[in-house]
Amino acid sequence: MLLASIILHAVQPIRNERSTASIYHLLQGKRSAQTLQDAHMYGLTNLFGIYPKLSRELFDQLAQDLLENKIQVTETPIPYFDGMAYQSQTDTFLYRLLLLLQMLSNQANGEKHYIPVTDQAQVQYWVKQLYRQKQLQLGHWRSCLYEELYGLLEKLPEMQAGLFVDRISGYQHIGLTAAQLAVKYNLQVVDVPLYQTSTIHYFLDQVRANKSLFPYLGTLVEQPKQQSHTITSTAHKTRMMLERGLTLDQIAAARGLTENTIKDHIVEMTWLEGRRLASRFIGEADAAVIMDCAEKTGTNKLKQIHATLNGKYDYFQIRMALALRNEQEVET
Amino acid sequence: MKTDLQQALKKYYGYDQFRTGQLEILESVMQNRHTLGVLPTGTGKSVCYQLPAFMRSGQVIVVSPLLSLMEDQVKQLRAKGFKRVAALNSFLNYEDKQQVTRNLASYDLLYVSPEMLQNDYLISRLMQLEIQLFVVDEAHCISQWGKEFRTDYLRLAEVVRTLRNPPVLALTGTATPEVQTDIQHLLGDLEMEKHIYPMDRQNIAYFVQEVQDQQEKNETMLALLRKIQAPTIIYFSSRNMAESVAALIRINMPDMACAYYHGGMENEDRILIQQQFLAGQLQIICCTSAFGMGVDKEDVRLIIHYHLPNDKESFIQEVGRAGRDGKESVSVVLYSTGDWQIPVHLIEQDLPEQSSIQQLMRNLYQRVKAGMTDLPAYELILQHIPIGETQWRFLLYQMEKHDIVKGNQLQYNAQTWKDFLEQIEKLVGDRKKHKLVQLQRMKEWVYTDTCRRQILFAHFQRTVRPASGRCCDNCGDTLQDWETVPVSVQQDAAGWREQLRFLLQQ
Repeated sequence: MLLASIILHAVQPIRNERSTASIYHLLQGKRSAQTLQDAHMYGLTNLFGIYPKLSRELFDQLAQDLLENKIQVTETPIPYFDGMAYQSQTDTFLYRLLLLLQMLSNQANGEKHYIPVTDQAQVQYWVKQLYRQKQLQLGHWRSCLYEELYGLLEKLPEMQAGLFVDRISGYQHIGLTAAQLAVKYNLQVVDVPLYQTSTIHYFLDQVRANKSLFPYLGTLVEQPKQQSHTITSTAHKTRMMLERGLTLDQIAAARGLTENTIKDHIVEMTWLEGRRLASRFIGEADAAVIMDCAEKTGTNKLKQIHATLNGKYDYFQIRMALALRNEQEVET
Repeated sequence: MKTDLQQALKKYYGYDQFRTGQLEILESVMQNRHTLGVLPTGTGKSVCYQLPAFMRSGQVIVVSPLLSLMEDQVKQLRAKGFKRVAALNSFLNYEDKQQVTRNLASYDLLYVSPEMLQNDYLISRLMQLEIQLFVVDEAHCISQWGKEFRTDYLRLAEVVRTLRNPPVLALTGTATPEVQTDIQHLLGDLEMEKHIYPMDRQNIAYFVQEVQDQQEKNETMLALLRKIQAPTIIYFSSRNMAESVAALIRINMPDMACAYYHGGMENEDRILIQQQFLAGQLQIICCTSAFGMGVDKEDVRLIIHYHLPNDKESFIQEVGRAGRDGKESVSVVLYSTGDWQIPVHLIEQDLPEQSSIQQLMRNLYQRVKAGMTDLPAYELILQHIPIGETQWRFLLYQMEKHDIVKGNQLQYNAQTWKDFLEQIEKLVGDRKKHKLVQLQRMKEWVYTDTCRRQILFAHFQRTVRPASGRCCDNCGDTLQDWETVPVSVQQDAAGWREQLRFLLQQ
């Protein structure tokens, strides 16, 4: 079972430092500073937001059963994911693709009346625009999309390619539901969306790496609005104010938030953007001491580091240093 | 007018001919008369209000209690190219609701749930429209003697008055003469032109088979499915059973494409399954009563009741999904004596317990005494008293009727509260009794040894027409010589490569 294997994989680095709920937030893609930090700190960025519809109840039950060894699962290899890079684009890309394929398939057969596979107004609008603009080239679109998809699916495991194609609705053929796909491919229903997400992440990655090879699929990718790596918008506001020279307490007062929340934002941005803001809050030498301590004691637990260093640094400083350590790893 | 209507039918639906009753009801509606239409399932009731919406100016408002049916119809209409249609119900999020409410005039056809009509803002917006027709769909819900009773429906008369009495069209698939009178009365004693059509379908044969236990039931069902290989719907009273029997069929008959369908599934999935059945990708659907409304598939040959519904009306409606193309079709009921426990249990769950009502009134009394006369929200009530939301709405309506609640304020008067408790006890008792009588009639039909047609339709129409083919087991008919006309079920393509090529016509 894939979900079980993913949970077991994520539990390892987190060890006893964070609750299993943090894994839920990670998979579900909760946009909080804490979850983003967890993803970076424990090297799990690829799993961030890969299962937005995961039910909490189901997760809790499964995680508990796994950790108490109540159930044995055969380990399933984890397919390609890059949640941190693609989770915000996955849904739009997937539904644009499904609706576009449905439209092209029906249009090729002169069928105008069909129920669209998605209700999302923005996706419908996007496909409609494309239809208006490319009306005379739809046949060309059909064969080029076919070529691009075929090439990508060939490189995926057969089952994953099958799961993707069987979901497509087109002319006189309706796609299968997750429950039907699970029966057909002998999977657990909960694993079906995971494989589908993996396929989309793979598509997005290939399209990004080889733009010239996938000009048609490339147009389906929604351009991210701002280049800040998945920084939460509230953290973004904090940054603007910091850049204008406001102090922590001034920002907190102005935004009606607690100082701790503002500190969360700063730590989050440090994880994602590195040193830029950090120097105002922790010197390089101090950061080095803390990183060193974390490495020697082999923990990321704030409380333990705080105690080992005899309370010399407060929790905020320790979190900043740990966030910076992430940057160093990337640099080397 | 007839030719206008016929041309419109051709233009919007591509049909040459009206089905039974449609033309008569349309003619009455187009002359702005209040109309009551009782049309058996499968005759296309929606045409009776969709055509006026296409043909005339002004809005058509359709009140319907079936939210998913509403959604389906809106989708189907949009797929046909008719975009000036919307549905207002609790499925919508706040923004979409606002969006629709603000632009009411830009729709020709508007589906509304009865709860939404409780909203004063919506009513005030509706008052600004030119409503050409106010449709009460599933109108039997207004009568407590109907198969399904909705207290929200009781307020419709008031809504019609507030909207300055537009022409009303009340539609239902099943209504005894008793219920017909109730509909007319509770919609404000409207003078209505009545169009009542018989419910008996001559091309459906009825068979009932007793089995000892579930295992025998499954075996009998599988044998039947092997014999009659044709589009089939199997009804269950529980979602779990529908799912597990669907799995059983898949294992035993891998060549017969089979899926389950129930109200607990996501909307997106429900539409996919429905469409697969229509497209012929699925041969068998295992479902609860949630399936069928608005599914216009002509060649369903076999309806199996793995569990029976609580009343004959529901049964007739479910069986009526077979043989819409006029060809001979079959209803088979499988029952074991233990089955009768389930509906009795469901009936008891449906209505509030006397102790809960007393507890509720005590709670409200304490609030009044503490000076809190605001009517508490349902969520708040639920924290203290175990009571379902439909039960709460039922009681709320009764409290308003007895002047215990006025404009969201509680009004205490010892005598009225005492009277209320007594009357509500009687009302709940009556309703329970009525439901058990309905169940009893269903049961009698199962155990009868005379013609099943005669007994099934006895309460609904004076004369029952003879069957066009087989009649029923009690008349000596069997399925032994049923000839299977093999239907081609769309088989899965060999693999994804071929499938992708087919989809994109490469």
